Amino acid sequence: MRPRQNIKTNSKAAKLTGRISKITTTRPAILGRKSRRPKADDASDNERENKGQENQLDEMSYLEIMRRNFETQFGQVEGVNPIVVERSEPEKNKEDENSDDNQLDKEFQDDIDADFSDLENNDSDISLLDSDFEMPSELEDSGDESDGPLIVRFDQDDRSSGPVASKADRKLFMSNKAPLLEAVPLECNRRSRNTKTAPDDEINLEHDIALQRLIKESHILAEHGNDPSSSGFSGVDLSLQPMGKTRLKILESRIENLGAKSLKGDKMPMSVRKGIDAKNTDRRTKYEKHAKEAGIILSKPDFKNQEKKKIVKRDRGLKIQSIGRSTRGGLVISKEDIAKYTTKRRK
Amino acid sequence: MSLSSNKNILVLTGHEDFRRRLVMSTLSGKAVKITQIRSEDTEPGLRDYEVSFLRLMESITNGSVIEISYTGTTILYKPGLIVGGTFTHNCPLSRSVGYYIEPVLLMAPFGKKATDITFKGITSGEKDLGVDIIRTSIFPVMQKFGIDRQELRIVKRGSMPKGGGEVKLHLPHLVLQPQTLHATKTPQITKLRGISYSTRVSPATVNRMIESARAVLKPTGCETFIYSDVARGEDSGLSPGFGIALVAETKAGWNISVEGIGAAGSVPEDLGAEIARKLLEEISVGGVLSRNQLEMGIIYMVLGKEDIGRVKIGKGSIDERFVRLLRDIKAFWGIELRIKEDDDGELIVTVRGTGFVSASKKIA
Repeated sequence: MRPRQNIKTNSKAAKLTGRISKITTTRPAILGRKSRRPKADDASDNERENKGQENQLDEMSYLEIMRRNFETQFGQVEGVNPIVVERSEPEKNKEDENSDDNQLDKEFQDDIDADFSDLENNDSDISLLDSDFEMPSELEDSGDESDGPLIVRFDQDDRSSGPVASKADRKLFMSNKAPLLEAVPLECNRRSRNTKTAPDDEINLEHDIALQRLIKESHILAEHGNDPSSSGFSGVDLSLQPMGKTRLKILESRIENLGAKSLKGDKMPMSVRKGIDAKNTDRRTKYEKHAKEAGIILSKPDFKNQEKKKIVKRDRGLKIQSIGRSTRGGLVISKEDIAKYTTKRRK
Repeated sequence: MSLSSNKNILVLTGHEDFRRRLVMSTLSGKAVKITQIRSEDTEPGLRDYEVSFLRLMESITNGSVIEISYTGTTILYKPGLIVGGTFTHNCPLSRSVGYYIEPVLLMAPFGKKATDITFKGITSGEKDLGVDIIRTSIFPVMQKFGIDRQELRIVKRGSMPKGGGEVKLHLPHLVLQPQTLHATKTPQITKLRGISYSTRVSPATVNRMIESARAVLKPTGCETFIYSDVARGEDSGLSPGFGIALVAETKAGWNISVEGIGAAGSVPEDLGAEIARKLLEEISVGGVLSRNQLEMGIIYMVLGKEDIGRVKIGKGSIDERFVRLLRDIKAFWGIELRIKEDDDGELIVTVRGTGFVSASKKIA
């Protein structure tokens, strides 16, 4: 999981820099501390050394504690270099270092793992592995024995820097079309601006719609209240939102209001539907009959009769034939037509 | 079967640029006879993918005549009219769908109907352009010539060798002729983007490629987004595979792109880094048209109005393929391009369009 790349892009750097616009800037160098001590020491080596020099170790650690106490009280004294002290007691410190290193490495690994998990989102990965370790010149001069603090310089951007690819960007790039450079202005922006300018209007409109709906749907709600099937109390009755059949009915009425064809209510077998329709027509005819007998003029006109009246004589086309009538099938000559001519001849 | 030796027939030799020659023949309306197709080969004649391409040509044109000799080393093609239409093309597994899509892109805008083709097979192969490159980098070239609204939907990704991928190409925009191009300034790159995809391998592969590619691209200081596309279940074709396509976007709308697919045993990190370096190399070539866009760009320019079009290309773009392209252009249209070095050390290609007009948009 650790790509150790040594990038050789310098050869083309001159050409590329002209072409690629720099957007991110490198962060100022961060100074840190890290030992340069090689980690190659085997565990077995450590053990051997530990056994041989336990006494010395105790003494040294005692001295070390003393030094720390002193430093907490009075601050660090020039010349008393903690690393030098560490050097003088290799075993203990080696272990410390190792554990430190392990700890560090673990942290780094965690960081890197995290990077891998959310890599695609941003420019955030910190490439610790590529960072340069630098020794200050004076320390390098002084030799290995007096190993001072190391300066670690991260030339890479930090995880916090760099733009984050938005979902919209991803959508634009990963769509089926050619990727666009500029995001299309989003609708939500416009909407938010509107709400800022006139929030009261929107609230009023909402209330208005709610009221109108209530008026329109009150009969359905009332029906639901009288519905014997929903007798007794349940959680459904208590909730403000209509539930079950009522909800469906309301939904249907709204759809109809919007201009859809009525869905003719519930689904049922054809025979039942026929029965209902027959009963309806029966009722209506009975009612009309009754009204007629009683001499009551109904407000509703009888639409069946009206439909019949509507039929207008159809244009039958040109009448160019001298005999018979022309149909799609051809010229039809009736017996009378034939008779006309035949009788004439006989006369 | 008579391979008639009419004087109007253009005779070319060799198996190279087979697709392009047939496309040029269709666009120029000149019949072409290609001889000596792999005549020295142990397996002489047309390959299965070439025959499949001929089938595709037959589907999108009307009235074209194809005569193949007994050995398959000679073919006579008399072009018909480009019609387009909706159909499905099953690509053989020897080449990826890019092999078939590329020529379709050159012909479809001049057809009678919108072209809507479903290609089935390998979506990203080694030899041909992958579907991601076509969408992100070739479509923008078409848009520069006034051909818009292209769509390439990747339904399923199919890797080598078994394929099983599916893409839908939709080209609804029909034009009379391509617009004249004037692009004499090498654009600056604003964004580096990419798609890392995998089929039937661990999804971590994708992130490994992204990681290494980003590490290489980091010194450029350009903002880099590489998106992952892990095909799962039904969408992932029949073979395991992975790949990465990187695109350098410019403000002018030209996209430079490279891609690579993982071979057997290749390490995702290596692939990611290699492709990232390839992208840098491609950028360093310079010019407006990158190498994988050159053929389409030049052909559209040749087809343009009878006007001078200019485009800048890098010196590195001139290779044997480019020379062959120019030779073919001369054979079919009898025109030559003027290439002149400019102050930046890059080349300006000047083309006088042939005044081609789409047969189906012509006013009689």
